[in-house]
Amino acid sequence: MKISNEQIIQSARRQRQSVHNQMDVEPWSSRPRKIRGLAAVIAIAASLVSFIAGYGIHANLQPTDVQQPLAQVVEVQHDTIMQTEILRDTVYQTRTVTRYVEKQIAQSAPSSSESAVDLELPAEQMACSMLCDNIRYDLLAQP
Amino acid sequence: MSIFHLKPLRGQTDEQLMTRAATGSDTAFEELYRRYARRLKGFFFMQLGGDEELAADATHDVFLRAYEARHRYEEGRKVDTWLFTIAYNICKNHYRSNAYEAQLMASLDAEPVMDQQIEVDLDAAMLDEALAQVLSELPSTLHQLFSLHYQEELTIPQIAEIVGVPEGTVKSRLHKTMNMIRKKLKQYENK
Repeated sequence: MKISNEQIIQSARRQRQSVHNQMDVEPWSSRPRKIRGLAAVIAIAASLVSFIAGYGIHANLQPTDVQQPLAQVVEVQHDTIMQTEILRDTVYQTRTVTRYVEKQIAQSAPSSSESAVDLELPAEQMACSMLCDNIRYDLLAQP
Repeated sequence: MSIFHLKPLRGQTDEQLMTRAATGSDTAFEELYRRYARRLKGFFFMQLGGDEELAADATHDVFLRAYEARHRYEEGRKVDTWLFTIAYNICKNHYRSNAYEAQLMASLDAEPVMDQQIEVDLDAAMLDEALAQVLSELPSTLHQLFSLHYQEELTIPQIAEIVGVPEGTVKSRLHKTMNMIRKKLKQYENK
């Protein structure tokens, strides 16, 4: 088939149309394209570095640095009392010693020695105490 | 304020949009970008060896230069001519073969315009593929000239302004380019 100039032009326009349809266009920005690309690369690199650094710090943490939740150290002792004592072994080193001792049962009646103290109060003082509780001060002050 | 400041952007001509952009309207400039970015990227894609990233960079460069120079826009100047002038100069800088191209153009311009019509006998289905190959082998100046006129459909006076040569030179170069294309297409006759 003999090719005319018009057919060449039509073929060139088909090529142009096909290329235009393939083209993606970015939204307009008045910043240079390379700087935008560079900024994106820097942001990605910075986030990657901070992630790696954070992971490294976490991996190197000593178990003692990690604060245990309080609920794990609470122990309910119904019949014993926990006594904690700090002992100094050397100038630089101390240790904590914990002892559990049985709880003392409270006595319901007063001891005989406490009753004796009460009895030893002078009769005059007890009477005064009884009076002072119920009599107005101005009456007491009168001779 | 002129009347076209009140019209919606899409209903305005390129020149009205550019005048608006020159007075500080970024939305008018964005509308121009929307109209021309794909077209210019396609032009660069074909001129710069089919590299899409390079074409995107060059397209952005055109609009960046236009944006920076928007305050110097002369009212009434055709926007497509202006944008394609910037695009043409970017292509010229890209090839950096001005000495060779200048020599080629000088010898081409010195040749008389032949009225001969080279007959090409080619299957229509083969034509698209063969022409794409032939265009990529053309000297960049002639490829751009052909593309501006036949693909981007710019007029001879517009191309003369873009390239900076008289209209007669544009016409004779286009004629010679077409003959060159036909001659190269002939090689595909028996393939």
